[in-house]
Amino acid sequence: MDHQPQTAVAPLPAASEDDWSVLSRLPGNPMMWILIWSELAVFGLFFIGFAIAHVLQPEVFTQSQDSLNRFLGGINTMVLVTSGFCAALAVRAQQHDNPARMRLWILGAVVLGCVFLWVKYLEYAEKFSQNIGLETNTFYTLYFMLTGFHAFHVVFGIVILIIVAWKNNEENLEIGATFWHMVDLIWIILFPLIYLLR
Amino acid sequence: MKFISPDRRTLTICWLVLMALTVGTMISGRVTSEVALSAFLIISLGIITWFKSMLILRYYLNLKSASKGWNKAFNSYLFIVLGIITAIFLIGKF
Repeated sequence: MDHQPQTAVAPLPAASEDDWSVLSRLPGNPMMWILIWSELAVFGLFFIGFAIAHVLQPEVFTQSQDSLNRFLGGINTMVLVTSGFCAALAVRAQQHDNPARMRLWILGAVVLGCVFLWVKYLEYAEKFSQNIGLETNTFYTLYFMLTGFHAFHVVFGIVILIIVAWKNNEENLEIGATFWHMVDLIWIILFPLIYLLR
Repeated sequence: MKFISPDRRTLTICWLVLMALTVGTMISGRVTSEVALSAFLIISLGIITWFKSMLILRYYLNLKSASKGWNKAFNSYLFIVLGIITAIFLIGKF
């Protein structure tokens, strides 16, 4: 057996705790981007499923969709987009060492988030008063599931924003705001899909 | 990578554009009417929604400071999902 001369192999550099490989090329905490990808993947499948169901039962979907308040849905989109703007400005204020202003912007984001939920409550209350619920038809099953799942994210986002404004440091705030923007992003697609496309 | 927030002016312009595009979405989606949407309006809604989601990613989530690869990955994914949704509604129309 030939014995090859052994060459010295340089030891691999130890991975640093901050080394997330390609994920390190994304701004902020890489775990949040993993969450964003997961949410986009799950909601993406739901969105496509909703579109297919719409095409398969056009009459049921169009009639049910016409009973929604499309204008209010548009106003709610503006509310959430403005709330996201407040959250982005809060992060900026924190990065400029201005915690008082940061808390004001977070308060704005939280109040607007609550306005969004209030409008959603009015929408649901109107439907329930007409005896419309999850089991009325396929449209309403998907409508309540998708908007309800999103509303749950809004509630969770508000709790996170309150916590990060209270226990404020730059990283916590970035994580909270990133979650909030993700909730915003999902609604941007959900609104035209459920309320408008027909 | 450290998250460095875009400047206030950029964020304000982004917010104003998002608000204007939301009005565009409401007009394209005929929010005050129950008429069916034409193919043109369905495609408009798809494009406006794609543009709005890219703005949120690029400026609110600051994706523009990430590598080009990540920008392409997110933009392509959203383009594919919104493209499929738009195509399904167009197929259902004809």
